[in-house]
Amino acid sequence: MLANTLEIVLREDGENYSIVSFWGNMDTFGLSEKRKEIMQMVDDFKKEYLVFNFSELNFLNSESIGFLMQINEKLMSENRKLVIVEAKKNVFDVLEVIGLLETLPYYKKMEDFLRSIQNDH
Amino acid sequence: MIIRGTFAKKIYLHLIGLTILLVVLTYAIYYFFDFTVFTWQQVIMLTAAYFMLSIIIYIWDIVRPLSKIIDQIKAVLANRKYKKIYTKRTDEIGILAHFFNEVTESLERVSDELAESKKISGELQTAGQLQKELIPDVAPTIEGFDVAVKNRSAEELGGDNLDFIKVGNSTYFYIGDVTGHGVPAAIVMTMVNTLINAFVEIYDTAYEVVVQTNRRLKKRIRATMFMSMMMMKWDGLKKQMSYVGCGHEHILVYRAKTGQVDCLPSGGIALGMVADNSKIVKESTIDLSAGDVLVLYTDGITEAKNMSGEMFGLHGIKAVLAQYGGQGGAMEIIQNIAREFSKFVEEHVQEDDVTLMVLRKLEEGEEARSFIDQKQQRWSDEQETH
Repeated sequence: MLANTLEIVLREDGENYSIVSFWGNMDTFGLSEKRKEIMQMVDDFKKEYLVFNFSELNFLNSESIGFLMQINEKLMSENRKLVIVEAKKNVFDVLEVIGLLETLPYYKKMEDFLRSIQNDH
Repeated sequence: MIIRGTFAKKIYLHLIGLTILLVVLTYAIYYFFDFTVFTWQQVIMLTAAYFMLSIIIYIWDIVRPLSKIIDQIKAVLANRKYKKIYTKRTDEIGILAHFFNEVTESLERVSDELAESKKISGELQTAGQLQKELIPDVAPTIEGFDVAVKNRSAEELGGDNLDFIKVGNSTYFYIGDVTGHGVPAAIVMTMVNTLINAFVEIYDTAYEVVVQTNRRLKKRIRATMFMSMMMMKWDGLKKQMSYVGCGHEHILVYRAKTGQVDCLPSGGIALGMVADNSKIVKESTIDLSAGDVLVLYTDGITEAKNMSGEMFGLHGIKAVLAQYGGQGGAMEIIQNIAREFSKFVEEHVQEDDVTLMVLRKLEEGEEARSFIDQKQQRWSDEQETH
């Protein structure tokens, strides 16, 4: 059996945020396997911040960026926020070059995000 | 051949039953009425005659319909017109007839799907051809520059696009990359090209062209689609090169004086990501001296892999430009880059569109040349540049 190239795990951590951790490659194959599952998580999500932890994500292609934009638009329409944390350098570079970080909040460390929401509230 | 089923049972039961009936009847008449209707020889002859008649009738019932089915099968095999076989029979002949009808129906469906697929392929080829015609086949001469472009799509319809548009003393040119490939990417590419061509006639700066294009584009495309772009403008009066980055790859500038390659980040945000990009993009200028070389490219170049899975990368194209930037005009430089790129990727399948644009600032008195190549052959199949 072929191993999935992308794995995700949802953790219901805080009162107003949940964390989805990604492992592997968010490429065409990985996305095709996990798209439905991720969208279901997004549809079911009712808190304020949905945090995508990219610390174990090795690769991200342009199709995945489009998918992130789709998620972001959906959450924004419900007054919720998509946040990205701890991306590896090559993934961060892709997000930065394409300009996605102009529209999505990004934190180098999870602690920075937690500190920022504490300050907000 | 063993025949099973209701049909076979009918033959034998019928024959056996009737024969026994005839024999019993004859014997009964002889026994009860004490006279002989038939002699035993006559009974045997009558039985045999009846048996023969039954055989003839049932052969007529088997052979004739079977030969009709065989005729239609022969027609299919010889690629001639054939007919459906209509029958209400449910015996072996009926099964054969229904089977023939099912098989020919399936064949017709597959044939229709193949024809449809051929038609779609033909339409895609036409669309691909129309799309290629959007990309100029001859770059306009930009005063003071050699210009060279190479472009190759990964599929019939690509997502990389470019154009050169002369407006008065200025030339706008851009290189862009739409998410994905195929028909949706081609449609976005066409929309962007149309909008830019319209807005360069209305607005004076590359910045305004980009902001207005984005505003119109965002309303009309899916949330998952966007286009990275590098918009350039050469002002022939001011002799100034400016650019607006929209989430695209770096601009590479080979400096003739030092042999170094500068890497200018694009900045900005891809078209179609936000409704209003006016506060995110900005217009910047690049100082160019004679002999300096400007290189624009799409990520199909930097993300291309070789057979070992290594990416060509920014470092790859920078290194090649550093090596060949001082050798010849834009055409020679682009051919050298293409050759080194092809050597690197070897036989690895092309997964993304690849586009390269090279502009070399000419010395005083040098003649401007332009070169565009959209051939779909592998760049390694072209002749080497010496």
